[in-house]
Amino acid sequence: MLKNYMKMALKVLLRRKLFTCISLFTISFTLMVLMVAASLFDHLFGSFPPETRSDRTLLLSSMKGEHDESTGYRLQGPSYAFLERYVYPLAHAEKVAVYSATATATTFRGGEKIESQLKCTDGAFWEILEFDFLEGRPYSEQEVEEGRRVAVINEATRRVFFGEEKAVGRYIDLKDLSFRIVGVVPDVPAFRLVPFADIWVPHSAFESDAYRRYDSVFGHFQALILAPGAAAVPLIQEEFADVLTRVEYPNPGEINRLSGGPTTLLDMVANIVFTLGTVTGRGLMVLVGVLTLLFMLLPVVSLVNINTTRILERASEIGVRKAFGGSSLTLVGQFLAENVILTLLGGALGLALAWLVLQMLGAAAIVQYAEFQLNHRIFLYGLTMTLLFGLVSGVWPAWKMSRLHVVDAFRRRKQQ
Amino acid sequence: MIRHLCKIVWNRKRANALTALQIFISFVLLFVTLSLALDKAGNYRRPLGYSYEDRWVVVFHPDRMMEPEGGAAPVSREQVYLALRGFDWVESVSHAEYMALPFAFGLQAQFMVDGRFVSNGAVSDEFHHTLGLEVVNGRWFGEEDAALDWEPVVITRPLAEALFGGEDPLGRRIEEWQGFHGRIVGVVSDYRRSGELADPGFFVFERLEAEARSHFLVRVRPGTPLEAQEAIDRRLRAMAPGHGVEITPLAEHRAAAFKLTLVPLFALGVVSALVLGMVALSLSGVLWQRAMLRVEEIGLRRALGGSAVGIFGQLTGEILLVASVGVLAAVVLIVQLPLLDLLDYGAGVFILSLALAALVVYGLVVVCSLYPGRLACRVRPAEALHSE
Repeated sequence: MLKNYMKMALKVLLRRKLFTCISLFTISFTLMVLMVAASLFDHLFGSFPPETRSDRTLLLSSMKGEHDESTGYRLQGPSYAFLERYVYPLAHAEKVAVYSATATATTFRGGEKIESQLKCTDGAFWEILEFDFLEGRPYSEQEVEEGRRVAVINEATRRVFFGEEKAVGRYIDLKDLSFRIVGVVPDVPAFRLVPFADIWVPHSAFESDAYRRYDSVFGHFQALILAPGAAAVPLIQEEFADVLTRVEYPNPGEINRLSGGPTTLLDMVANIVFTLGTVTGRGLMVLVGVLTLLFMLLPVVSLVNINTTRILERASEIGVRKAFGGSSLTLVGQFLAENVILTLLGGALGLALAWLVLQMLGAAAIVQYAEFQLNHRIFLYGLTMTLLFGLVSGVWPAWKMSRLHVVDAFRRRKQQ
Repeated sequence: MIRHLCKIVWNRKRANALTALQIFISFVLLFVTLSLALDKAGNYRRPLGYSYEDRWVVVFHPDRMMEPEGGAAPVSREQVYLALRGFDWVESVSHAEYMALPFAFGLQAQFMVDGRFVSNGAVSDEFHHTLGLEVVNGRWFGEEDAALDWEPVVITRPLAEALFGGEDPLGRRIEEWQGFHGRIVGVVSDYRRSGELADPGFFVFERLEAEARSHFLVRVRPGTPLEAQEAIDRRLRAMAPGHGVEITPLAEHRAAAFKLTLVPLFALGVVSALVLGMVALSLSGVLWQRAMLRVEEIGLRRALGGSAVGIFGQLTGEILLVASVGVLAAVVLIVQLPLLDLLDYGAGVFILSLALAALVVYGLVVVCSLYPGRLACRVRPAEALHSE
């Protein structure tokens, strides 16, 4: 049966090549855009190493500071001293890691300027984030406490400084200090905001310890909190909200009220996208879903329009089948099957196009170290979207076809 | 004639509704893309208010890289000034709070005007000269301001217009800013901190007291080579060994800001263009098919003396009428946006975008109906009537 439908679908496809081209272009282009978008979204938020436990990892990247007697506010990351006092001791957290915002470290080599992104972290950073080490190992909490000058670098930095040679055990100069390299990790794309850097060093490695003084609640650090399970996530958020009510402010004349708290990466991005709105990650997902549906609306309408018009080509065929007792349901089934086959063809084309576009995006180096690949998640999403697309764009024309009256069908007359 | 066309269109309302819906969505998409692009293009043509060429930001990290934005520099301001001015290709040096520098990342706002945040930041007395700001009214800060018991501020002209309309802003307070007790002493032409694509600048310059800060702005002679950066780097680090120095030309920050705005816009443009192509293809397909289905009708009309031009006109007229329904619905929807305060484009950009979108959509429809229309005109009456 299905084989017959397939044969029929192919015959119909080949009959009017122009229409087939139009339909295929519409389907493949739409699915390509959807798959590229899904792939970008997945690369931003999906579980990729080193962020493998994103469902139970919380991020405290910025807080909003206000004063009772002012309308102004400040939105910034917490200071190390604040995190040490109020976030490290959180009881519900399994592990807390603290790291600085990236800073640029400039090195001049033979008249050439090399800019590396530097992140200062603690030892737990390497435990919450699961990096694959190409060489060596991460530095430990003990090494951080002792203020050892050790560094983990990424592949690109190794290539720039040491060519293709091994880097572990060699030294790299940062801000006039010499750091011994203990590990090399693969490049992390710049849009993975939490793990991204070129060079990671212990936050204690620099002589000054001014950052440990509690001068301000704000600074350039962020905290990564690993919950024991997804269920503990709201517990940690409640606990932190409670902690905020008991904060001692170092300069209460400037800021005496804090809000915000640890969120998932998705919630954080939702916050950035909607600038301080109350939109959560779930809201962002709903918005993305609505946008996807809106985007699909136009191609679906185009396809329905073309399909309804094309059915009339086959009026005599429908007439014959009806006259010999074919039920409306069978006809609808047949037409849907044909449409789904066409859509699958377009979907395969779309997948190939998406792969091409992603390669181009990666090659254009819009984001540092970004490499986009299609994975099974994107493939499944694409397949679902293709089937949905095929069904939605086929239902109305098929229903319309099945209602065609036998007499009219034979006369090849259109009854609108 | 129009009434007759309306009747024909109405008789096939279901099929036509689909086409109208297609036009409606295309129009909305086109409007969004065009208005964004035109808004940015309009901004691009506006004067920036300063110059980014041959300006370098020098960051002298007070505490290594731990506190890139605040805190005190390890050596006094005068020492840094002296060191920087020692290079003969340095024309002018000033220093500023991070948030006052062009292309600073982040948001620091004290109040809102016209639904937009007003940023503020403190800068030193020579800042306007170093950056090339143009004082159009009043004066810039000077040494004499140190003796004042109130805080002098300089604001941008767009902000002055938004706050005081046509009145003279000099000597006025800013009522919207609670807890602020300064007065306006000068107005600069503009300061669009995020670059040429940003909206007119709403910015308040405060006077930076003498305390040392970590961010310096250096104006260098045109054509200063890259090696000069290394020289600054070496000299400053020699002054306070172990402290980090970061030098970035403003032009690099500008390029990054451009990319950040233009890449999404470019992606939207490409998607819109392809979607329009898709609509055009499906529309011509549908029109062709429909013209073929009306062979008998057209043949009859030709036999009775209808001209080819008349038939072509009728077919095009029909589809234009259907398109108008879609366009009208979209315009009615879009006009609600500024009424609900959801869009803040100027009237010019708004109307131009609507007009351009309409032009493109109608042009598309006419082009799509050309080939099917021509086919329909060439139907020979004898053949058409024969098939009946």
